[in-house]
Amino acid sequence: MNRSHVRAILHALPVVTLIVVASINAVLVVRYDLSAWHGGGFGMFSSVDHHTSRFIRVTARTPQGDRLVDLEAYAAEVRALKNLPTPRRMSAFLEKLACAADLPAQTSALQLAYYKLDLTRNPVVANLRWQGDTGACL
Amino acid sequence: MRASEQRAVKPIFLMLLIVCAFYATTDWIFAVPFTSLFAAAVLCERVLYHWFFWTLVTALLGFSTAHLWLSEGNHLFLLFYVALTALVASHTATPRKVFRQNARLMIGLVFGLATLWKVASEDYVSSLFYAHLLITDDRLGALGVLFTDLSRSDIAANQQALLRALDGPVQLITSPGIHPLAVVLTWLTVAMEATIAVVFLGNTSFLRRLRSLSLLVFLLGTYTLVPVPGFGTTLACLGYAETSSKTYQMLFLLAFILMPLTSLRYYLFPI
Repeated sequence: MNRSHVRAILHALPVVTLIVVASINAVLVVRYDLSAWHGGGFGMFSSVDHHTSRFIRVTARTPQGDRLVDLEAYAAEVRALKNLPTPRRMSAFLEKLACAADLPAQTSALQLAYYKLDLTRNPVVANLRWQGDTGACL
Repeated sequence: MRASEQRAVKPIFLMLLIVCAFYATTDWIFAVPFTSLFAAAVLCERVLYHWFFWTLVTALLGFSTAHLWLSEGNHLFLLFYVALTALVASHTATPRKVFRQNARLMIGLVFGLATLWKVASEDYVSSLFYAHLLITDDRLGALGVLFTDLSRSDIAANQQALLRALDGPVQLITSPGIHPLAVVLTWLTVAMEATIAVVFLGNTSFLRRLRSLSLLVFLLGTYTLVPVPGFGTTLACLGYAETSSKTYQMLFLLAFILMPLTSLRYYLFPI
């Protein structure tokens, strides 16, 4: 490989990187439910399946009944989780929450439910897509 | 780098740094170093043409993209590729040529991918995407209000209703005029984006003549309606880098300068 070949490869590096990242993005969208709005595939404004139509709800089980956990302090993390909601990532987030100190008193278990809005219908309904619970750290 | 090459790439370098400093991210951990790098380049012009400076900018953008890829938009990726181009350009004796070639392909690929995702998306081709945005979105809701009998309060009510959707089915307020408007917007967007992809990826003299014009029409048509300054200014920077026409370069500079002002619409005329 001579110097002109090296130079040509170097000059094409930004575009080659774009193509590689966009290909990985396509796999993540198709196989792992990544929102097409994110991840370097340039699929923004192509679908209503955006983090605003995906919801995550965490419930704490206490002797007084189920209580919703306020996720405001985790807003950025929840948004990222909604954009790539793999079961593994959701379980890891749930365990992290369970080990956090700011849960309702006497919480015995935590449950995370992930919903997607079905916007093809009016009235709009939320469909449960994944649910998991943990008793770790509790 | 020769002085004539430095003069040619200086506006591109500065535009890129302005986007990094002001629009790349709101995460202060990354925003603050970008501002420092921008200040260094403005106050000491020599650093602007040094490969080490662009290694720092590219590395910082690489870190921020890797850290924020699931929360920030695609503009961060595009910015990273432009910074990578600046790094490559700072290593060569012909930076202008490196920018021109990469900018052409990047614009073509970005719009090609955007078109592919749209035509592959069921809710886009059925016009559901725009129909939904026209009745719920702060930005496109303005069109819904302007062209149909929908009111601002209907859009606010729809936004509130969606937040209650977990508690049970919610009815969204719509209008008979929304669907035809959504169909027009759906195919107008695809036509515009596909045209840009074709004229930038194709290489005949006829297509070359249409490149800057098509991109400027897109910038004007899209970003006055949906202000996304991070993406819009990066595209204006790439448009400038791609063309050798002084007139179009001036128009891209003007677009770059004026585009952030479109966000004022939110404050002056909310919905």
